[in-house]
Amino acid sequence: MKPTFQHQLLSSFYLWFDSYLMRKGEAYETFTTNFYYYADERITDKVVFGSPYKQFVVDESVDGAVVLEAVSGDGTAISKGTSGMMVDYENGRLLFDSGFPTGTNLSGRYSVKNFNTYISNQNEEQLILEGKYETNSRYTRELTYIKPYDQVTPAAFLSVEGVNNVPFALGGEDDSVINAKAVVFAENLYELDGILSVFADSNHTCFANIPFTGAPLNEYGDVKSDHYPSGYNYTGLANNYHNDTYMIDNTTVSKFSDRARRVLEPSLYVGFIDFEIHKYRFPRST
Amino acid sequence: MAKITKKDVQPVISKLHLTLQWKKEVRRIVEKEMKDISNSFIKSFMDHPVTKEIKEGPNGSNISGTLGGYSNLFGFIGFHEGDNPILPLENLFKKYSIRIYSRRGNTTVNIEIPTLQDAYAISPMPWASGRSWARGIEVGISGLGRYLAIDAANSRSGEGIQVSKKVRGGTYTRRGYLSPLFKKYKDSIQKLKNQFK
Repeated sequence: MKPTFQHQLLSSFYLWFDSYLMRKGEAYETFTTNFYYYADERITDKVVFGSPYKQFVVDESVDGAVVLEAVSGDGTAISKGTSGMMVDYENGRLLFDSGFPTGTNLSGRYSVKNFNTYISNQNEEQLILEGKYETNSRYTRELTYIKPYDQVTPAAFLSVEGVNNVPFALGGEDDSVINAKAVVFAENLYELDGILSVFADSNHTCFANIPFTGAPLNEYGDVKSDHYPSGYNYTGLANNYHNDTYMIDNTTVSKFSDRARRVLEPSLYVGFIDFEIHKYRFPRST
Repeated sequence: MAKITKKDVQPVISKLHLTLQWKKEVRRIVEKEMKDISNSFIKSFMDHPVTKEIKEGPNGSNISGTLGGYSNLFGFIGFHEGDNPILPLENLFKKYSIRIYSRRGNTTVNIEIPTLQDAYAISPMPWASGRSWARGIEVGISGLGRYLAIDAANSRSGEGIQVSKKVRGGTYTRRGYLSPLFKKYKDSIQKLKNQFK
């Protein structure tokens, strides 16, 4: 199946949300840490070194953030491509070609998102009540690698609840009204208030309708070098599609009440961001 | 026989519009009709299956059909036993104000009523006060409320459970609630205002 409106919408919403949070809220931390060797049974033809954090900042439009491009290996600089080095920004790790010495002391400086961002198909009950998340604290981390693939908190889980096409103009133009939301898990109240405040102010913001192929990361979690030879820059990418946008018409934010929080792990603070997004389009045209 | 044109009567009409008697009569008519419109709006709100179901409290049945006939909205949303979430909306909907302006032969009737946003602002979810349950009825509502009662005995709605196992999938079905009622309300008011244009 070809990418449809909803595919593109969710992808565009995710890219905007992630970048907007980091740009407006400076929601990232920069660390210099070692990378720790471990074996990943899913990637047997690579040598894997993990950092203590996952979801590195990959967006170069975020002022002040350090996008990891090179590391130090036994005192020597190793850039992307050397020994097949790739950066898995999603899982916070480095991948090398097999044969790379597993005893190499690797360290690097990089920025990590304050909130990992995920696209979710789970409803709120499942996310909040069933979810057993590993905490990937930005403040008190044991210095070892973090396991890949599992979702960790602090995090924001994005989903599109529904789309309603309302007739708008003669000729078949509709106003597609989209209800999207983010369920946010924060480590503390400061973090939660911060993210809610950033998105409360996103009311009446427009974001670009970026093609499905615009997703910046490849199957290894590294930047698609053929699409983004000079690095991924959200605002630069969005500017290419400034004539094709979505408009956020209404944003409401709310916190999970303290009383309700009793059923959660006490360390988690939960918030909700509800977006009403509009897009004028011709849904019945080919 | 002399023919009377619109031009001939215009000065009279202009003066008539400026008289206190005219304004009083317009106000009397508008107030009477507005009262009927408002009562009809409140009746349609109170007769709505969602309103009725929530008013029934924790022991009501799912007459709105939003939960496939199971449970009820009061418990699903997670209200406390004894809560009356309909009352603030009912009180809000009773409010309106009428202003009448007459100028140069034109009478303008201005009727202010609460907005949908006002209604959403006073209908908070019991577990997330920034969210409106009234809006949730239309755009989708999380079933968190029914699971958040700490234990059955202390349940806020009297029928909650504590989650220890896998949560059942959401079965809520959206339906129109305040938006269509407001649309009809506004249309009726517009018709009334148009009578004096």
